[in-house]
Amino acid sequence: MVPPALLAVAFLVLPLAGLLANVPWTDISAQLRTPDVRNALYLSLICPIGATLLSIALGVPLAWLLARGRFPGRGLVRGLVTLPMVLPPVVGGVALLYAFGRGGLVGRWGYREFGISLPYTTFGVMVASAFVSMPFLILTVEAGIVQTGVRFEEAAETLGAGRLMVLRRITLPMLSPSLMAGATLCWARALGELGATLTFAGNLSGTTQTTPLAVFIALQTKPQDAVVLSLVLFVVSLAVLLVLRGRRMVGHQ
Amino acid sequence: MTVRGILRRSAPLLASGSALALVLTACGSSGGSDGAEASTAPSTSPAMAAPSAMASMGGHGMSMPAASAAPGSIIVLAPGTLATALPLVDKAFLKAHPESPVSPNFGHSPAQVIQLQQGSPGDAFLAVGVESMTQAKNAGLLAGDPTVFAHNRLEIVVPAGNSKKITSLADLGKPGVTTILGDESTPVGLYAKQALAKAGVTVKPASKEEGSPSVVQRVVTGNADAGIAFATDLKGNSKVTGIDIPDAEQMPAAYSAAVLKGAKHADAAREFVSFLTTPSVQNQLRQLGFLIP
Repeated sequence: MVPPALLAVAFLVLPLAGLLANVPWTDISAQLRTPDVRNALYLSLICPIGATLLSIALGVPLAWLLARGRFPGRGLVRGLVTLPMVLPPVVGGVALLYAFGRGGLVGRWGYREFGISLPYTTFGVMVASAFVSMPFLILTVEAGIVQTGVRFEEAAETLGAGRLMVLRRITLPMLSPSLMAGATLCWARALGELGATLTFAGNLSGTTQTTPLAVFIALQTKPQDAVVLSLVLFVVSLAVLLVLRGRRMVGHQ
Repeated sequence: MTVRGILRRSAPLLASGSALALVLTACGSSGGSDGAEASTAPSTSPAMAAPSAMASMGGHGMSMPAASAAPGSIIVLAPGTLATALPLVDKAFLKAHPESPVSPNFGHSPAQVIQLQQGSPGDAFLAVGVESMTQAKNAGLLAGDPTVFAHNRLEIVVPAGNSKKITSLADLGKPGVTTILGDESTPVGLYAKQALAKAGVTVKPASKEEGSPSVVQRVVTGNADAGIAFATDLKGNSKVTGIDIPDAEQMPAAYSAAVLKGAKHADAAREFVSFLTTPSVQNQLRQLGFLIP
């Protein structure tokens, strides 16, 4: 058991060590201050948050229906909405173009009637990210709802609590851990999003070029810039893990 | 329940990369009662959320060194604009040299120079633009001088019908025209930038794509009014029309080939490079829209 386990650790940690070994530590602050890098970091701050909010707004009601609803084809719906998790993100981007692009099924109408066009906009980045990350939220929240069951809600109702009271005092508090976990997974997936964003929203510094896109483009000709940006993503991911760990400890005790 | 509890139950499935199993699980519960399969996941693996974000990076259009080439095959590094032409050339080459199959590896020429510098294997290097080939030469990667075997021209690509009535580079700078360029890290972006500078036109692109085919694709899917791409990437595509950019405003991109110093099959690679300038190959390239010197 131990040798393969050690191999697994080495396998997962060595690439990160390789990254760290190649960081140009002396120029790092100058590189982080270039406009392109700052734009990318800013977009990587707001776009995953936007995607997560979008996922919460649409995904939580769906998770609720999947967990509690009794309707035909529920399993099919669950399978379909989780498909973006296995779909190559690039394919997701193309699919988004054919749905919400200017010539797309819905996008055509929106563009003609209202002049709305999602590609090449920051909101388009959020949409592309939400497409690939929402399933993580839906499945996590659904599992949470299923697990909490209806016992407490029923108990509250028998004790005379109104529907609003039950929602506020029982349902939402019991939902919040799974919502937190789901939102975190969703955010993390959105942070790393590359393929769907590049294909659907495009690549322009300041508007659609998030950090992963900047890394991808920089890799072609400026590997050093790519390393610096990767380091930032690495540090942010690590920080999120540590924060989560802290929360879990608190929750456990 | 706690965040820990939820993560412990759901994250092993979500973060372990077995997304397929998860979807199957999700589908499988259609006949079940409560879809609680997700909660039966083993709780031994640590709940880690962020790696899924890291794992999703990359994997789009990046070319990896062709390490898995068949023994004896020539590894040819080539730009993406040759993706249609090269397989045809390879087929003809294989007929003449059955012992030397060609294993092409497509990517951006500037990126391939960097990959070669970092020790990627390769027998022959085919580059678009003199810059990358010069860079490879200066880095001491080449065995011998490069041979120019074709040229490519830039064209303005517009949707068939040209709804915005675009006739010249100057039209790309007009308000209301959604224009797509290549990123400057790619040959098509670099050449387009030079052409726009020569024409004295300032364009605010809606997106800077990672290659000439992607620029064309934006117009094909109806998401752009115009773009600047290599002529060979829109030839034969009925959904788009090419508009000429005069010689005064552009420099045709030269395609050159050279044998690499680190070649494992130097003789076969040399054969391949000279094969590119034989009349039959030149004719084939001309039919695909390349300019022949």
